Amino acid sequence: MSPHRMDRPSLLGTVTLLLACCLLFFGRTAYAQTLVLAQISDRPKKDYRQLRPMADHIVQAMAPFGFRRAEVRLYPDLPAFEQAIRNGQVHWITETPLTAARLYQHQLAIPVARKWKRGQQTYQSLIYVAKDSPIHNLGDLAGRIMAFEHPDSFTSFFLPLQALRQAGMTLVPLDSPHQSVPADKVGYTFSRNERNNLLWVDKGIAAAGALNDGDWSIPDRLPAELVQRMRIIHRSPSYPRAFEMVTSTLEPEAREALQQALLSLDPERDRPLLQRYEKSSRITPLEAGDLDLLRSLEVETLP
Amino acid sequence: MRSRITSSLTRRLTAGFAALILILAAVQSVLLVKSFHEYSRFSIDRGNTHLTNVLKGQLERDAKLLGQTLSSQLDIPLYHLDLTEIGDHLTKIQRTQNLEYAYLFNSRGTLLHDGSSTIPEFGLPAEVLIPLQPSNQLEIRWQDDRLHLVQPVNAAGHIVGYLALAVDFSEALHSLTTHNQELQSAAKTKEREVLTHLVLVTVLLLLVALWIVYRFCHHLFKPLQALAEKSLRYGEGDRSIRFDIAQEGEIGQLGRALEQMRRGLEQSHHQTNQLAYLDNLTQLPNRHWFQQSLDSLIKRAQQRSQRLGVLFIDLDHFKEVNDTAGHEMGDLLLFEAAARLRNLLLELDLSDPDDDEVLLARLGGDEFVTLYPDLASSEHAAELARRIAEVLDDPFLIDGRYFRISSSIGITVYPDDGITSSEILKHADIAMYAAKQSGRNQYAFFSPQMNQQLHQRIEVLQGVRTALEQGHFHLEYQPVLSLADGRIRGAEALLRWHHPEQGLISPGLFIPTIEDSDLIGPVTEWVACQAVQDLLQLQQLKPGFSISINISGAALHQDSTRDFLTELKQREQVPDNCLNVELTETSMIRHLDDCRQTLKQWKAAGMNIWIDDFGTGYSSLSYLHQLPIDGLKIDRSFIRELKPGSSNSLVATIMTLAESMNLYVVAEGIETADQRDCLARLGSCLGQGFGLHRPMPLSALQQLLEAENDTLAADVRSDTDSSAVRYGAEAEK
Repeated sequence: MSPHRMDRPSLLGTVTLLLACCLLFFGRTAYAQTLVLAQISDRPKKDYRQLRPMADHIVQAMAPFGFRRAEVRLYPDLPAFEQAIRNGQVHWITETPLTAARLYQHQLAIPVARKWKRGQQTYQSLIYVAKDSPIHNLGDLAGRIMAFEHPDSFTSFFLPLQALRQAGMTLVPLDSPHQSVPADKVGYTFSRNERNNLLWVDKGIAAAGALNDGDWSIPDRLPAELVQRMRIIHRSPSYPRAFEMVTSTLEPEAREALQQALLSLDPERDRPLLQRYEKSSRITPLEAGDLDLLRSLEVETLP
Repeated sequence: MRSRITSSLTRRLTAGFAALILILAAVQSVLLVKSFHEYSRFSIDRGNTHLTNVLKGQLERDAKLLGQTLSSQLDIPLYHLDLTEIGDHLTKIQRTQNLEYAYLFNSRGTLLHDGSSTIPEFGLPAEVLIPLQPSNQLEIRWQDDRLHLVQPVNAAGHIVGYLALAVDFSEALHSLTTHNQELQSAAKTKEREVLTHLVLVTVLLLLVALWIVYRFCHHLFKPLQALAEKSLRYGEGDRSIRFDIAQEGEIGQLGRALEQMRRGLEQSHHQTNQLAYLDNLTQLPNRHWFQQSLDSLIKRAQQRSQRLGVLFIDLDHFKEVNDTAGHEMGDLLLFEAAARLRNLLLELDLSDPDDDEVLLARLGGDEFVTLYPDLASSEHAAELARRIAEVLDDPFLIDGRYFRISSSIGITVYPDDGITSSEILKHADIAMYAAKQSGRNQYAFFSPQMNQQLHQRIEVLQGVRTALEQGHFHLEYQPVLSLADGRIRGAEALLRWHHPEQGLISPGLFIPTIEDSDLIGPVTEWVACQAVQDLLQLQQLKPGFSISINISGAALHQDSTRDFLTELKQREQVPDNCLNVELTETSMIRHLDDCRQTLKQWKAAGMNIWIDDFGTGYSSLSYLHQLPIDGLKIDRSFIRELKPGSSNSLVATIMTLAESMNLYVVAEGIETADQRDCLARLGSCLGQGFGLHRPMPLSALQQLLEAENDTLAADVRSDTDSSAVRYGAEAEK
């Protein structure tokens, strides 16, 4: 905008200005979209409640990029989730390593930070049996039923499955724990949550269960009485607990801003906010090897 | 007092009514309260039962709803065996409901979850844990206040498990019990309230009813009270009272009845007055009235210093009229006599015209009394007595028969013979008695000696009674001889009285006295009995010996004497013609007809009849002929006149007469030998007298007879046939 033109205002110039203003207005309005935080969830109500405050907080930092509002979207399974991401409906994802690896490997999202979900920076998978069980190693599980938590669970499906495969066991999925299992294979079924997992093992519905070490060690997560009746027969290596990811729907600057907003959360100052955000204790930058880890996880081997 | 009678009746009726109502009200109240109590208990219990049922029904529905809701929520978790979610559901309802337990069993009936975090009883069979057995339908059971429920859980049309719940509804049911207790206590309070109201209303109604009853009774009994007051006033002497009440019904009837009673009473009073003051038979004033009249006349005579004559009249021989002609005749005669006396007094007009004092009265029986007011002279009283005697002396013609009576009149004068009415009347009675004693048909003025005589007479009568009781009497016998041969034919029994103090009392003193009294019967019977006993003894000495006893005129006319003698003779089996009865002419002739019957009876019984004191009476010879006479006893006065050398025609005539009538003769009072000789010359007869034998005791007579027997025995040997006149029984034979 030159001063000269300002000196000679014309109808065209005026119209152009008005149009520019309108464009600016409408452009800004079109740009003031909703920041969408998404996750795969089979308990949408709980998860929505856990995610919403953080979304509402972070969106404030995203205002310069036109994000006035925040929204939590929960998808029942990976395909639906990936489709939504491809459709550009998701900006921000908070997920455990398994889903994070899948999205990363499918180039739908990239990690921007580690999330200390449930206060854990990392976690590992445990395979356990009842103390009085005759099972002492993974090979003893042949012909038995193994209870996993969820098909999307990293520590309670992916990691134990890997471990069993590596131990040379063949696994067959079961519709219900009452089904019989071939003597040379390990049948598995999903307990839907950690307490069920433990109860099944305790009540003999399943011969062994798989949980992460957080479930095991954090008090009140599981009935201590039951936990004490269990014996751990396998521990996996430790993995980051969860990742904060962004999609390509966000502009690079906006990604940067989001990453900064997340990393700027102070464990002390923002404790309540973090606590409500899936009981997280802090959010820290990615560490070396995180991307490699995500890239190397053999997610496609899952049934 | 009067008002108290009726008001007490009113009060009593009211009190009675009150008592009755009170009892009724009490019973009613008790019943009502009891019924109310029972009804409230019943309705509360029913309500409670209903509420309990409704509540239980509601609780069951709630429990069922809960079970259904829960089971519908549990189907998927159960399918997934999601113990966590199942546990969450169970825990959730365990928190909100009074759940005793919430169990989920699998389709085999073993426990999957009990809502606890560790499910310690996992796998236990249902029968260990719950009272109900799982089945393909809803099962419900109440145990105490707990509701047990087993609900099948369906998934896709199959039973995948069973939900078992036990809900403790004790709180709800307890609150119901509390509610029930509150209701009962409220009902109790209400009961008391109702009772109080009931009592109050009852008392109020009772008071009103009592007031009405009291007023009603008061009104009802008012006429009764009036009648009671009238009765009392009538009783106090108010003769103006009338009991008629202008009212119908019972009270009116009572009034009329009382009025009727009053009239009856008035009439009765009038009659009583008449009875009290008038003699029923003669309609003359009676003794009572007369006594009052005499009192007032004496008082007046005293005030006026006048004299007053009292004439006591007794009809002579009236008793015989009664005895012989009957009491009706006697009554008619009394009536006639009263009329004559009344007429006489009217004629003489002795009464004071200013007053109606009674001058003539009948004192009872055959006794009348008249008064002579303002008596100027005793001679006037004597004149009146003579007029009375005249009037009564006329024969009475009654029922076609003539009766002759006379009167004995005693006269006293106030104040000479007494100053009180009773004294003067008593003295008049005594004077009358004296007149009667001196031969009847006379009048006599009172004199003090009469009093003395009366006392003597009373003494004699008392003495005779005592003598009869204590045996002071005895008999003496004066033998009767045949003058021709001097032998004893019999004896006359003579009564003797030996008084323990006064010694022998002359027969002349007491015999006339008892003849006028009722003692003549007993004395005659005593004499007869004694004489018969003695006779039987004497006859052992002299068979055919006879004894005479004297029967007075008074005794002769008594039926009892007649029958007594007859029976005595028969009972003692006295031989015939040995018991003689001596009678005076006078006594026989007075009542000839009756006498004839008696004599015939005696004669028929075998007794002989002799006439005593023959010649002194006025008997007609024809009587002698009519009567069954056996002999005559010539009075001593004739015998005394017998003189040797004179014609002695009177005695001779009697003896001739007797001979002609076939009668035997006894000469009484032979005292001298001359007299005996004279008699012997005049003819054959029997004799008796001091000149022959004096009266003697039985023993002496027995000795005499024994002596004669001895003499006779001596004579028999030498004696040829005797021409002696046989006496008594022997003569007959």
